[in-house]
Amino acid sequence: MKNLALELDDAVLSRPRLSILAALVGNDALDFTFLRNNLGISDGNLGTHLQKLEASGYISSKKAFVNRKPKTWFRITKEGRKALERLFRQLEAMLVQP
Amino acid sequence: MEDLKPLDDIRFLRDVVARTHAPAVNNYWSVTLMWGCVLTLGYVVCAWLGLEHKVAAIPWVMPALIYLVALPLNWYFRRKVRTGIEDAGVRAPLRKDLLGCWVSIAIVGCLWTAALVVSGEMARHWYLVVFVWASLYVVGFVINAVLLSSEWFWAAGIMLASLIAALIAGADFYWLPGFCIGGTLILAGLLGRRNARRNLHRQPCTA
Repeated sequence: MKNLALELDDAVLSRPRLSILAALVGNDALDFTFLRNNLGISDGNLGTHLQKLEASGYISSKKAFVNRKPKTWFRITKEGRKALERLFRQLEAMLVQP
Repeated sequence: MEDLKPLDDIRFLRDVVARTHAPAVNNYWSVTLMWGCVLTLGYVVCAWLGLEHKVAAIPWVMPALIYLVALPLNWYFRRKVRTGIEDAGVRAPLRKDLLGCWVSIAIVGCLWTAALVVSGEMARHWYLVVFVWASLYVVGFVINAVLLSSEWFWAAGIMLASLIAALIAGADFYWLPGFCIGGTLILAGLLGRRNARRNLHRQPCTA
């Protein structure tokens, strides 16, 4: 039998990275502080996971000022959406596999 | 990989989505409230001018209020709310569906109004323009309720009830739906404020 678990995308598979993509998919952009506060990930960990996702081309970042305060905005890319959809399909296939 | 639990992952993602996606509330309730106040004021001024037999000024009241008061205030309140949301770390997607709905309603309403003016029906039956706009607002409120937040069902219900009541009660009550346009927007603004405040606090989840 084909081992579906081996085909999963490692860049998306870890829970923190999965939660970052899931949070970004329903919003135009989210900033670092919002992600940290709402996902319960420490600053260092979040930074590392965001870097990995950005390096994979699944998210993009942009620095901007809001009310004269600097913010780093993160946005999911088309590739990121596709990767998330692909993962859901794979998880679904794993669930229905006898 | 071996300890992968798809069901747990899906449950976990459901939690993340519930905490990070925008709740179904109208954060722009202040804009709604402002439009309600301006339209009610415009309607009261038009009614007063009608009672004073200064009919020539009536067509200018609403456009003047909309372009000189409502649109600048709309810009100011929208900017204020958007900055507040961005300050909290969220940049919400542009609701093209809602934008399309209200632009279509405005275009259809303006075309009907123009047709009534050009055909001369507006001078003979002033209430037709009120019924046209009130009917369009019922449709818009229902779409808002489905796409945005539930308080718009109340606005749609009251607007529809006022239309039916005016039709049943007869010519003496034809002013009612027009008055309810502003009134229902004020109601939707106030209910939207309550719903938005209820959804202010979210608990963080752990990844």
